Amino acid sequence: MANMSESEEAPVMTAASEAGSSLRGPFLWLLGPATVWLWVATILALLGSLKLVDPRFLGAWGWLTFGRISPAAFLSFVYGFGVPVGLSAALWAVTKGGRLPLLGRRWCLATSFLWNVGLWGGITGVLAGESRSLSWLGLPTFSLPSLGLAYLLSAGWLVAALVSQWEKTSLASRFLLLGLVWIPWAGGAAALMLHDPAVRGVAVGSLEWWFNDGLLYAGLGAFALGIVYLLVPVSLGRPVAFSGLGRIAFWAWALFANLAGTAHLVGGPFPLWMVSLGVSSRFLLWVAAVAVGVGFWVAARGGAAEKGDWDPSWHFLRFGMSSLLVAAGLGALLALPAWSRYVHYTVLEEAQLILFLYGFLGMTFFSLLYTLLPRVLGRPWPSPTLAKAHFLLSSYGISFLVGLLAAGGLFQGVGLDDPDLPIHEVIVSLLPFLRSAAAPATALLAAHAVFGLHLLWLVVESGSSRRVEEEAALAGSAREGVRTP
Amino acid sequence: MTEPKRVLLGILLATGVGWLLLVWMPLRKLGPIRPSADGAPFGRAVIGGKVYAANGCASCHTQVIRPPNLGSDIARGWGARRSLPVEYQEEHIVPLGVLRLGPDLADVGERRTEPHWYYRLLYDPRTVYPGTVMPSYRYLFSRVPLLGSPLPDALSLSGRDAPPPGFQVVPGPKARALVAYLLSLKRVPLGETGKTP
Repeated sequence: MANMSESEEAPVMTAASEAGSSLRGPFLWLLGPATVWLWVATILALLGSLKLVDPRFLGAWGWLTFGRISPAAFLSFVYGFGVPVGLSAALWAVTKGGRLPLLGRRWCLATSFLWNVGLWGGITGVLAGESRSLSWLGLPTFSLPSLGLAYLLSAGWLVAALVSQWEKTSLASRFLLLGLVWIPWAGGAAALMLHDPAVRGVAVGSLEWWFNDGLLYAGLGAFALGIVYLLVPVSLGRPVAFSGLGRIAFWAWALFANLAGTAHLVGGPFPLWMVSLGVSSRFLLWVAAVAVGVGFWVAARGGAAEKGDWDPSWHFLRFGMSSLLVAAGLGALLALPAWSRYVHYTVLEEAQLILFLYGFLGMTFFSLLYTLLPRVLGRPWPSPTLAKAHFLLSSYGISFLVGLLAAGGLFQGVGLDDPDLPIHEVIVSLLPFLRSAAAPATALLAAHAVFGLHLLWLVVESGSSRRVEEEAALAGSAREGVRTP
Repeated sequence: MTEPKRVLLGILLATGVGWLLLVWMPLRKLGPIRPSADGAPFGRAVIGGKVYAANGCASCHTQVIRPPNLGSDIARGWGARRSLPVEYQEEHIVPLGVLRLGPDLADVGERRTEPHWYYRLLYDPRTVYPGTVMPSYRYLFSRVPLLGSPLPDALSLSGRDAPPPGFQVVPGPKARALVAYLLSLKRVPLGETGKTP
């Protein structure tokens, strides 16, 4: 896949659209609810942002308090949107972009049903006050069996399919395999340990942060990098350059993503070696991201997408890669003790997280959706203007949101470091930044609404054209005297 | 062994290394070696810890005191020394926190000892800190009929917050548990130079 040339890619477009009907159901089962979760996440995030404008807004209901909707927003985005899109990327890879028949259609349906039931229960539980406040491990216990079973149903045969169709040169397969395997491995281990009464004390904190960074980098980050390696040949007609460097980057990513979490624990009640391991791993993850980024930009220089029409997939992909390089660099620099003194526990760290989540993961996932859905549904996106509006609203929304939080975080950090300045005054000085952030958050909500409506339009159009084709086929076969069902 | 199997094994090993170093070793080296002298926390404070987690207090408050070279936590009077692993050894929920939109609470039970102050803050934070972004937790309180003299825990409210005549506002079980938890947070003994935020 990674070394597909332009001439190899062209027939795929035709073959893929022919295979659309067999893939239509599984992808829509996964991606339809994912789009709904994206809206849920964005609406909750916007509500959280408005609560910082006026904390009394919707303040009478406990289930809408800031401390519940803020984690619910992040969990909805990661588990509701991120994981199903990651599974879709793997599905896309094992069917060779829709050319191969799909054997696991029922598994996909079962996965979608169980996953969404579990997640609705989980997010409702978080809003109802059933969370243990453990960041990405914050979903209530009762939702975990359904989520675990749902994931294993699909990931099991996707791993088997990736391994059986292994392409030696494919870096996409490697990254997708990492994402597929890491989430159940680490999620299962973490969930079991957290329910063991013997596990207590600060080890719970290091377990939490091992999982947090692992999920972002080795889980969803690996899915996103797999998508980069899948889509660059499609968009540019050439693979990501320096595949040897890419292989080294993959192994660095797989190892250091598992060790980076303790960078968050600078200054905490942990031995120095743990924190140093986390900080140095963050730097090595940045190096791995730069290695992939160099190959990406070399491939992009003079690529087909730069010369042709406005290609939404390529623009989302390019924004995603730029965000990765900045977010990974920022993640490393902020963890340095010299910086950490000022920026730890400030909204600057929140800005880095949002850049990684919405800038890298979100935009890369949208890039896949803009490539995949027209082929699966057999129709092009109905409106290039809506695609462009989605991109512009998203990119400006993310940029301003991250910029405002980063600037506010610097003021907050300097204020927090001054012991004579009461904390209350520090936070009051931060408020203009937090309140201004409601505007880009609204732009992001608008962007996701535009995408949802555009997707709905595409599904409706593809459905009506399918009916016309079926009716035409039916009429033709009736004329020929063939018995019709 | 074929290449895909080698890659798969490599992924499992890489994840295993992370688990070994950041989960298993801390559990062995930093976990509870022997029961603490004070025993495990129990009663209302434990329930309050769950209320603290359920309402996402850790979204805005930390519970960790950093050493002087890594922040002004000690100079602010949030604790007399940096936090140590032993102070958390009996806890199943360790809310170290991610963001400081409010003060650190590792030692808040030493700084603020009056339950009524907490009730007042939780019911309407703006009466304690005007302009704060802290949300109100009045859903943890109940409005009950006033029969004779007000109950000892009843809040004295005026203006818009005042209950209708013949009623009083009292903390509900979750508010009482949360305040019991906050009062129990005495991880680091306060030094003589400590300040109150």
